[in-house]
Amino acid sequence: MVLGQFSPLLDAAVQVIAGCLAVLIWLYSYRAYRFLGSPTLLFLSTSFALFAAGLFVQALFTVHAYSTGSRLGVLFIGEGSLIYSVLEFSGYVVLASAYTAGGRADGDAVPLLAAAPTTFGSIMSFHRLFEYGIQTASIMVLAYALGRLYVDYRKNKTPYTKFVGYGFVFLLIQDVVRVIYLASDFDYLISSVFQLTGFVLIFYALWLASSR
Amino acid sequence: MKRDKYRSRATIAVDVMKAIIEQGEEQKLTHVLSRANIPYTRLTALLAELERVGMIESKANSERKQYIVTQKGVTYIKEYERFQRISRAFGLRI
Repeated sequence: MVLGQFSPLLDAAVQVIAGCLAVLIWLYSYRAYRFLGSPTLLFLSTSFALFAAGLFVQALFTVHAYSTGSRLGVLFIGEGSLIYSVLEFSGYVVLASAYTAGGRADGDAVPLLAAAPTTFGSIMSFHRLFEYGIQTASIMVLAYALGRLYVDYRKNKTPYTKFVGYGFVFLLIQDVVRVIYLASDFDYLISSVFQLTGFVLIFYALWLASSR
Repeated sequence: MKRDKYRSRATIAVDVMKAIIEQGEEQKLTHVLSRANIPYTRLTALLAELERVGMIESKANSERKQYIVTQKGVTYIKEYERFQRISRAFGLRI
């Protein structure tokens, strides 16, 4: 299938667009931080800077892998995916910190799932297990942030929050899909489209809030 | 009026400027004080700072000092509200 053949490149393109949106969201929230001096906004902007960095790195590795070809290319995709997972996880932890630092809603610290110790001798097995652990932890942290957002929305009914909430849901779906089921490059592309939709919705919320 | 328990410096400055606008010509410092919900000493220091940066202007009335929010102050309030909407879109309190 032609689409399947080019799906790594399409995936990289989707990641670059999502990365650009993450940069714009970072810019909005960083300006808000500079103006208001609120640490929660600093956490928010830092999280989107990390998402953007992760998306650009992954896109770069994917393009490089595609141009290299052969088995070495697969290694590049794997490394790019791992770096992305670490940056994405860091972003979610910082994002959850924004809700914790806000300290208004009820709730305890986020339970983080660390990668389980492994006895596998294979580096690749450890690599995959580590990435799986990071992605699972990302899901938990994002679910926590989504929960806090939902609690705030129920309490304050703030306009635009639902778009941010839908955006978080799409990001969550993307992460769950990547952890549970990825049979081909095309599936990966679909999960990236989910992620892009999430960033579009979050950006739309910021644009609405900013231009009223 | 519902208030957040913790207010940033920017929030207090905006509350003070909004109180000045609401009071208009007939403004009394006690009204501004209750609206801004801060101690007198802090309010006078804040008014002096807002005046120094050009967000408010004072004019000497026969009996007391009167404050007017300048265009720069109005722009600041609008910007504050814009960024506050962004913050609230994420369910975050500033």
